[in-house]
Amino acid sequence: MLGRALTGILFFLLCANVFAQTSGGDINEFKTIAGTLTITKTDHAGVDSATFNVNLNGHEFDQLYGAHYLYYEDDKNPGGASRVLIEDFVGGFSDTPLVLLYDFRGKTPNVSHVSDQLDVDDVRWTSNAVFLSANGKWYRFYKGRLLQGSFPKGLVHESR
Amino acid sequence: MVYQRDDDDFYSELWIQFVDAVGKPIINLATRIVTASDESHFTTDDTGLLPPVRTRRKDEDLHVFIVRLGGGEKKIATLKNQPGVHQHILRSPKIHIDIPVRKHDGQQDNDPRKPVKLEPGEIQHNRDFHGHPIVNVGIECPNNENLWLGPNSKYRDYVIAAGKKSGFQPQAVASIINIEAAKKQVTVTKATTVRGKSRNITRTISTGEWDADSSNPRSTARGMTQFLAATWLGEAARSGTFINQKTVENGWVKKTGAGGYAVVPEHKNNILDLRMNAEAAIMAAVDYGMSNFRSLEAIGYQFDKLNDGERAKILYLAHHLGSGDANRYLAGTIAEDDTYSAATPHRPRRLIARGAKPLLTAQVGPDAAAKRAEENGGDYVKAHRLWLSNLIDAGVNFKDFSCDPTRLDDVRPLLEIVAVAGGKNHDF
Repeated sequence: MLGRALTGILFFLLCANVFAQTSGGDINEFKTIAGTLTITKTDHAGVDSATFNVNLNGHEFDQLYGAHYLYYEDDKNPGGASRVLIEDFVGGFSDTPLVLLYDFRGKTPNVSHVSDQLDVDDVRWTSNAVFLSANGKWYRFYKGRLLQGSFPKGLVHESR
Repeated sequence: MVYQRDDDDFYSELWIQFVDAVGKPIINLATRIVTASDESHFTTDDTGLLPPVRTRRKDEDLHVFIVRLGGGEKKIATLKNQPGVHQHILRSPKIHIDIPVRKHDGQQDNDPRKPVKLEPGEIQHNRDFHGHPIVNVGIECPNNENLWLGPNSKYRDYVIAAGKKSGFQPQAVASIINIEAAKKQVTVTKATTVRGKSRNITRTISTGEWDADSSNPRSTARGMTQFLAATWLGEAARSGTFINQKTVENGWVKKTGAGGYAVVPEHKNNILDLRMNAEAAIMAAVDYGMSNFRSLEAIGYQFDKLNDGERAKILYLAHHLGSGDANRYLAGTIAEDDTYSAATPHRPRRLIARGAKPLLTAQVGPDAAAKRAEENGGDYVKAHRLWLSNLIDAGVNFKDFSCDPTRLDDVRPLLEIVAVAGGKNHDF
């Protein structure tokens, strides 16, 4: 019994180590617990129009304005990601990207503005917060607020 | 250029450096610098520098003369006066070497039909068929590519490879890398006269050599082309980039089911450290720039009407502003203030376009931005447009990276290029 439990913990740790981040192409589609999220490049970006449309189950969910974006998903649930952190490279080369959090856990999935001043290089998740690493420091996004903090303790998993 | 200051009164301080054909300082060169209000005789120091030339008059050009070895002098440059502290490097097409006296004996030691390949500035002493001493000196120019890199000639292969990948002439690539690149710097102290009193001025000046190990203390940018960590990781995960190719080869990213790439966590720092690799930094800068350039091209701008020197300016415009704001610059629709999308119940309002006022303020500071706006009738849009066009016209010149500039097309000013490519200029 104990052996099986240890095996289970070890399996969890190994799975949790599959940190990932993925750059989007012209069309990117992945599963979330609220349905299929599709990020599609617009045909011809006019002035002030979005460069990517983000749809959830075919309905408009968000828009991105940069030439590139990057996303981090939280740990893999059987039904897909429950949260996704998006970096929208909307400014010039030396500007840090706009960081957004998509949270699919509520009745109505929502978008939160996290920061436009962090050069994020790592993301960790707990059940109620997102931890972001930038320039050697850790930041915690919790209940809509971003605070500088320390490396998260307790049950932490990396992005997949 | 060292740095710029926008003081209330006009003030210009110019540091002139003389270098030879391979970028080494020319020492003990006698010069005469003439302005409308002054004339000075200076000799270059062991870094090739003259004491700074300072003036408080906007309309003063600086005329630079050098003393010839055989007597007399020669005018070699007229430099425009600009506000702030600046550096200007004057490059000689010649190289100075000391040749020891050697006897005319011995055997021929190389085949003249198979010349020895030497790096620029490298010197090799040989003998001809009759045993006469000859000196072989490596020079950069002329060459098949008509490419001059001077102190950065060690990056020649990378610049040429980046040119081939992007379809840009290598001189255009070099002009883009040069404005983006961090440069190695040295600190110099010079005696100068201020209001009749002698005092020392200490400045940090650029050697012109691109710094592959650069680490910006004011930001998270690293490496020769100053990539942020997030942008670099994004380029590693973006299919088709040089960084993606290298990280795939090393097993540092892996393909995902969605067709993208994901960073392997234990190799994240390997990927970020790659920013300090000169080849990766150059290739990544061009990949990133081309991506923005193609975004603008897809909108319908006619960049095929431009030469590569002009396309390089557009590429840097997109690099500086991002493709969205570069599109607005070309279309002439940058507003004074930031533009936001409307908020919805589940989505906060979003910054979708930056305004001229915050853009200019971020670059030159609030006081200088306000002053520039005031000089343009209180118009921040005009002030920003002119500031950025001047920056790009002064900083992106592909002819500066050619052995023979006459073999390259002339480059028009940015605002003229905007109109040719199908953009719109304001009626200021």
